[in-house]
Order: sequence, then structure tokens, then C-alpha cells
Amino acid sequence: MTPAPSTPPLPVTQNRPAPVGAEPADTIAVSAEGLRCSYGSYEAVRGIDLSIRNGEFFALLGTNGAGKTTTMETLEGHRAATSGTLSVLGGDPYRDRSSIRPRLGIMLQEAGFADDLTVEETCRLWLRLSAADARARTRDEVIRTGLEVLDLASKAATRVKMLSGGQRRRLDLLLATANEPDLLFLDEPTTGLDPESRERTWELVRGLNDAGTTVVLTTHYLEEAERYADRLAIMHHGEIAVEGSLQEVLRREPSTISFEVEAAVDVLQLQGLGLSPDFVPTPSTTVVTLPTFDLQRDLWAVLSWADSSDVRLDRLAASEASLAAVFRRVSVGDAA
Amino acid sequence: MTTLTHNPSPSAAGRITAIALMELRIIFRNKTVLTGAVLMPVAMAVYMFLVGADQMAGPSGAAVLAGLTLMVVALLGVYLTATTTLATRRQELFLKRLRSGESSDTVIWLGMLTPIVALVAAQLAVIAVGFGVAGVDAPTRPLVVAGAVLGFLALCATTGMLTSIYTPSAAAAQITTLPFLVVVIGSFFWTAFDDGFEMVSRLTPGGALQNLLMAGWGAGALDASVAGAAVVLLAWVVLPYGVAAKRFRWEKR
Repeated sequence: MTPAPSTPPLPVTQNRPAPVGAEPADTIAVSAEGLRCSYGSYEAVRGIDLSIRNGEFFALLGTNGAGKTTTMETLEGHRAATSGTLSVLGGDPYRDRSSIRPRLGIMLQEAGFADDLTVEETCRLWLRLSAADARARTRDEVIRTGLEVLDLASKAATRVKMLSGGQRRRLDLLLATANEPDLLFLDEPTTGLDPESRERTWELVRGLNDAGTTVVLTTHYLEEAERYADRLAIMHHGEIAVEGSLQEVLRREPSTISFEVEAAVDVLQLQGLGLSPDFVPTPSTTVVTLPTFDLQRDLWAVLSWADSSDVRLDRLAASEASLAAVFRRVSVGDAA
Repeated sequence: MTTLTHNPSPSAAGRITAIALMELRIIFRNKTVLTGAVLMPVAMAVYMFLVGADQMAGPSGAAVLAGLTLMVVALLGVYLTATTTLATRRQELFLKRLRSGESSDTVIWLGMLTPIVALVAAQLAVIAVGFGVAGVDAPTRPLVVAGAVLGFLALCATTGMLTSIYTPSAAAAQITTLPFLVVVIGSFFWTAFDDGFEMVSRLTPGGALQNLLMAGWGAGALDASVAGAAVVLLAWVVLPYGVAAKRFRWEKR
């Protein structure tokens, strides 16, 4: 039973960014309008709009199969968009690959190595293929510091096939960041990493971001997006369901008060207080959930009601809106 | 943090060399690949010489012996190895890795295929010296022979590229390469028969090779038919490349 709440629980809505033309073009690293990507008859990305500013840390979240990786690979220029307009660092990432790639760092969700090469040989090959090879720092310097920062120095002479999954992932990151890119794409960079490695990863990425690198991240770890992203978007079924800064996203998501009362208690009395309880009766108790956009006021109202009505609240809990709650809401399709 | 200077990218030749040296290093570190790409073709060439040299006297015999040797060495060393290598690198997602960098598709293909072709070219040079020492007639038109050899090596490389698209793994290459092997070897012999289909047989890769080698050893006139054979051979290089470049798969299925 779910009576209509008096305070609108603002369903997750599509919040499109300001049109790309509204800002000077040189402040925009990535812009997409009506971007669609299909595999045969299956449409993985269904007309999304994105605008990511230079220097921004942007997180693209979503359920498995939501279209994140397809979106990322299209932005990276690995595949052409089926329709829509797309600009990455001022060019088409697919057609203008040769001019854009030297400014990109790409850490794919899944990419292999030549297993019979050592870690150092792999780095050296990558740098020889990179525009940053002719640069201020020497190749040796880049490799040495990179291996140290990512705790791979002791593995320099080890063949890649002997590395653990986490070590391979760190090597992946090293290759993606070795040219200190203007725009860094990270597709689930910390999957399979232990906590210390994750910290090292974020230290490196934060350092680049602080120095001006735009970061576009996909991750299943919501706390990483909460902690590092300036703005985020949640994709579902190929569309962007939510977009904004963390504060903006959470502001649209209700906090929750929940408790259990004896079955005999008339919880509809709460409606008289301007509250909109969702409740599930069981033989002995009623489980009540109250979405609220003013947690302090409504919690006070609930406690006052319980006190004056001599009602005991079991399992009382109050929780602020969280990204996890937004994500759950999107993934179960409440956005509709 | 030190700021890097994004200077002009390394040249395409520099990138091809970097990838080629990497591939060469991998070939020499993997005993199975090394045996298949280096030892087997040479062993086959020696075997063919021992078995067939007596029956292949004169310019025509030398051309046939050279053609057979070239086919076996190039088909095993270039075609089969190129197909297997590209399928394996795709399976390992290493092609996708290379494509996530700054190198163009052409640079990646050339980088992967150049060491394979160069290795076989070196083997053929050694075999040619060996044949010379053993008394096999030298070609009277070495440039024609050199062109035929280079063309056929390129043909094996581009067709290997094409075959790799339909080859999901290294093991599957044993099957997917068979049709082309049969076509090339079959068409090489077919050209020798006077069966009324000469015009057709000359359009095949084996037929074009046979005609060029015959001309190279002086067993045939250096006329328009030789130029035609060169065009046919070139077409067999370009066509597979064109299709492969358009349909190439960078990721495993």
C-alpha cells in the first residue's frame, strides 16, 4: 500500500545540461547531442546528451549493460556513433583519431598485453608509440616514476603473463597516463584492485586532474564517484536517467525514515502531519517507510507523534539520501 | 608534476619499427611460434630439394622448384603465421590495446606483419644461396623473380590479414587457412596443364606466380602475359587488403 506522498519525492529525472553552445567551445572537453550507438538491431545508447568541461572529473555510472562502455568507446573513437553529434577536444574522435589521440589517455575496461614482454618492455613500447615520447622527461624517467607510483618497480623485469590481475590493471593505468593526457578515460579502473592499490590509483588520477586533466570515469564503486567526481550521470537502458553534481542529484532524492510499529497502530494518522508513509502490514507489525525532503523536521514530527500517541517505534532508522539509493531507484526503473 | 611537451608524433616508420621489433621479440621468445615460423619452412624446403631436385633440371625445372619452395615457405611462414598471430593478438585483446593508442590502423597492421614477412624473406635468401651452391640454375631475369617473390609474400600477408577476421583463435587457423592453401597450391599446378582454361588459371594467385617465375628463369618470353601476371599478382595483394581493412576485427567476438 502506497498512498501518494504529500511532499513530492521527486522521481529521478533526466536533467540535461545546458546546451553546448551556451558556453565557450574551448571550455568543453566532451560534448554529445542525441548520441546513438547500435550493434545491428540492438541500440546500446539511445540518444544521450553530455557536456563535460575541461578539467572536470566526470563519472558515468550505470547498471551492467546500461551502455556505459559503449558510450566510453564511442567518445574514445573506438567506434563510430550511429547518429547524433559528438565532439571530443574539438574534433570527431572517430574521424579525427590521429589528431585527437595524442591528447587522450585511455584505460579500457578490458585490454590485453603481449604476455611475453616484460613490464618495462611494455612501457617502453607504449612510449615509443606515443607523441609524448619526444618530451621534457626522458623515457626512462617516465617509466621509473610510473612504476614506482603504481608499486610495480619490483616487477619491471617480470613478463606480463606472470602478473596478477591487479598488477595488470595498474600497468594498464600506467600506459593510459604515461603521456599526461589532456583527457583521460577510465573504464572501471579499480575493478579487482586491493584497497591500497585503489588508493594509489586515485592518488595518481587526482594528481593529473588537479594538474588540469579532464577525467571521464566509469565505475561500479559508487563511493569512488561520490568522493572524486565533480559531476556524474547514471545511465540505464542506454539513456541518461540522472545527471548533475552529487549535491544536485541528492537534492532530488528523498531521505528516508523507517520504523516498525504494532499492527494495531493506525499509521495513516501520519498523513495528518503532512507525511506520506509507505507501509507494509505483516501479521504482527507494520513496516513504515517515510520519504522526506526535510529529514530533521519530519523525524521530529514522527517522534512527537509517537510520543503523544504512546506508540513504540521499533527498528527506527533515519538515512540521508545517498547515491546508492538514487542508483537503486534508477536500476529498478522508478525513473519512469 | 613535470609538464610534458606534446611535440609532433613519432613518424609512422618509427611506430611500425617499434611494433615490428616487439613482434619479433615475441616470436623469438615463443619456441612453438619460432619452430613453426622459422624451422618448419626451412626443413620443408630442404626436403623438397632432396626429393625433387633430380626431376627438375633446366630452367623450367628450376622455376617449378623455386615456385614450390616459395609457396611452402611463404604459405607456412607468412600466411599461416600472419593469420595465427593476428588471431592470437586479437584474442589477447592486444590489438585493441594498440588501437587505444596513437597508432593508425595501417601502422598497426604493418608493424604486426613486417617482421613475419622479413623473417621469411631472410629464410628465402638463405634457401636461394643453398640452391645455388647445390647447382640449381640461377634465374636469367632476377628482377622478375624478385618481384614475384615480394608480391607473393605481400599476397600471403594481406590474405593472412583477411583470413584472421574469420579465425577466432590460433587453433582455428588450422582450419580457416586450408581453403587458401588449396587454392594457391592447386592453381600453381593447374597452370602447367594445357586444358583449355589457361586464361582462367592465369588469373589465380598460383597461376600468376608460376608465369612470373617461368619468365624469370627464361622458360617463357618476357611479353605482355608477364605484365598481366604481375597485375594479377598485385590484384591478389590489394583485394584481400581492401576487404580486410574494411572488415577487420580489433576485438574478440
